[in-house]
Amino acid sequence: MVKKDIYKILIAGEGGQGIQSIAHILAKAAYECGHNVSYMPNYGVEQRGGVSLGFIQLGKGPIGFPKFAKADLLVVMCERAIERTEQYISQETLYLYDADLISSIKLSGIRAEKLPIPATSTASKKLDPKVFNIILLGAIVNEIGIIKNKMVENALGENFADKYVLKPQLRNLNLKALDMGQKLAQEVYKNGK
Amino acid sequence: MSVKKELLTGNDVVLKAALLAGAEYFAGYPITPSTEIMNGWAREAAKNPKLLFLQTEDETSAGMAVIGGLLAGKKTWTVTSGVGHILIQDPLVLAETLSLPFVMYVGQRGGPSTGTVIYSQQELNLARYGGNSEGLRVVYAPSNIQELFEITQKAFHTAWRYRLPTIILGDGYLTKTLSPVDTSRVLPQEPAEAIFLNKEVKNLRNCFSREDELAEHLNILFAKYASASRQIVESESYKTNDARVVIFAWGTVGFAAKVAVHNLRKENKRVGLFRPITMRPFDDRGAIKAVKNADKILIAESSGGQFGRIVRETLTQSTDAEYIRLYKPAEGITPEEIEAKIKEVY
Amino acid sequence: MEPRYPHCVNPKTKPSNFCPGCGYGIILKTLGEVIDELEIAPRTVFAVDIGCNLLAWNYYKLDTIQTHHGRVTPLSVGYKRANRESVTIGIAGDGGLYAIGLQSFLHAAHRDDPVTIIGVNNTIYAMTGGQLAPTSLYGQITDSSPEGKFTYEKPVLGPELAKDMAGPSAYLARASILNIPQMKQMLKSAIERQIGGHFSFVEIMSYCPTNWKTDAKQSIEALEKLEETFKLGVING
Repeated sequence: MVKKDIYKILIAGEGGQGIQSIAHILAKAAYECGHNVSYMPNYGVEQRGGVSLGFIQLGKGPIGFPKFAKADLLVVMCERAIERTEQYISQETLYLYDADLISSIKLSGIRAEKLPIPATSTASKKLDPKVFNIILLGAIVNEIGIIKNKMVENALGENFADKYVLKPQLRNLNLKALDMGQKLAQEVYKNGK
Repeated sequence: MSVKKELLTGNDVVLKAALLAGAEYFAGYPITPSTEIMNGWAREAAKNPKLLFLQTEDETSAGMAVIGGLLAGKKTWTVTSGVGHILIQDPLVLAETLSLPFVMYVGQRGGPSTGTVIYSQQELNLARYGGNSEGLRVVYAPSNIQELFEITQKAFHTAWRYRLPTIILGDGYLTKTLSPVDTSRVLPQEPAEAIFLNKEVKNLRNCFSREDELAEHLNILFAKYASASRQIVESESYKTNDARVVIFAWGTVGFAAKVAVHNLRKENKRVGLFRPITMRPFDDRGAIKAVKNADKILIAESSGGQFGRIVRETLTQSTDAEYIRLYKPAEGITPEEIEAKIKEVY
Repeated sequence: MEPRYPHCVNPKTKPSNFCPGCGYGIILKTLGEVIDELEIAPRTVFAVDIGCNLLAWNYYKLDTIQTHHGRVTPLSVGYKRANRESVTIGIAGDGGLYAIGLQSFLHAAHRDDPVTIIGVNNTIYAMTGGQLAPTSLYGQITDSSPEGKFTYEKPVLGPELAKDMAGPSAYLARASILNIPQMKQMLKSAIERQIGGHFSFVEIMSYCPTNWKTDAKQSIEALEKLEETFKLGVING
């Protein structure tokens, strides 16, 4: 991604996919790295289902408004979110998506550089289905480039503190997922897009 | 006083600020997007026996319970939004006629009616003159989370010092956004005293038998308000001295406008911003002064013109500038959109 | 010889503005006696709304708040929560308790809020000139039911209605101005129940010669007849 004063990241998915969790973790990690940050959840009235959005801005520059018109990085985690987030795409947007949940046919109308991450299948095959969103988080961190892994790990620990107490093995699982996400993103570039 | 930075949401900050200001009693009813504040207070009250909490059967009852708390001398407050805000204006006018320090946070959402649970700037009229009000209340409009933290404290201060109902008029985006804030900026608390069962007996009525009785009562209230206004009124004029285009914006849109001005000035455009901080009382003089060199005035708001009407009424004799409207009811306005709108004409 | 008022009554505001023959005179004087006898004046707070009870805003030498229609209960509840040592007494009419104020009345009972609510029931909206009330009897002619036609068969029976939602320790009773000793005893019990930490409510049947368009004898007879529907006694507690 091009270096910017402020990175505008929009994460979109179904309620229940953990969008707000990863958005929150991302924001916290960025803050701990000393960046200016703003994170705003955005969704409608349904308690379950419905498209859930997380608007995150981070970097050195000033942040003028909690929402933005165009995303530098758009992360799409379900097919319903494709239409919902089209308005946030510009020529410079990097379109990161879960390649297992979204078929490329559905993206044929999307004019943006695409970064497919097989998060769901990788999670199922190699780790645990639950951590597919942490894999995506890893890919996001890789793309932004200015957030230290250590801060992400700390933020994960804070967010899931209660769960880590009950199941200590979750900590390592999350770290592996984070690492996997970064590797998957790098592989896409190595293989050319 | 050393800086203390924390990463908090608007909701967290309102709660924290209220507690720092000495709030002891909260009566309310849940409504999105302000419910988290009530939940937060309920958690605090469960831990701290000095804090009182009551979830009532509706907002009108909540406001009446707030008034009960105020009569007992407790710093009592509530939060609401949207249609709940409509209902609370009923007890608010009782507070207005009795000069009670009723404090409330409003997180504006889309309207009219149930609208959205998300965001707008459409409750401005309601906050300023809701109910059958004569506007004898104070309305503060914070533009970012730092201001929200300081203004929420200031609201309690103003309410108790000047005995005026005081509203902190935020919005759903501000309330839900997580941002860094310096929480070392703490105001000294204004003292509170019971009205009932304290010193002389008081018989308080809001209903008068004769027109002239009410008129006399109101004239006293108007005089008190005018005098207090001089101390309370607040606004920000950013780079307006030589500005050819002056933006009028408030709340979170006001902050977006400030960033837009900052960016446009880097391109040598003579643009400025007038941002009211108190929406009631309104800084008429500041507004008039801000447009002295303007040939264009851009009004930006997330409503269909509620703020625009106030601006045009205020400036009616004082400018020949052309008005440009950037009205986006119930939708946010980014700095980029403001910059683009200005570039259409300048 | 001067008429003797209870100490907590404000002599400067007498004669009051109630209509000649209004039941409020009896009710307020009796309540005043109870307050005197229980020696609670220094800690009593009184609330009224905009029914005829608004005229009691300066009846007592007690801290009094006159509030909006139907909001006597929530205001009293709100105040009492902030000052548990107080005795908080609210008075409202059929509309203030059973129409616009019904929700708050029932929820205060449901929460067992330790306040004393007094409901003055004259089966009509008197202050606004005589409209239909939730307690009006089937076929009653009022300003808003000029042919006596409206949908409900039974009037709202307040204490009975509250019984379902109230806790077991609430005091719920119905009195009448035709039986002052019983009314006085019920008011006393109600306040004592509040002091004991529970919700208390006394509905008091009253007449309204002005809106009933009855003379003294007719008023008393009509009220006696009403007691067949609105039965006096302790309903709970």
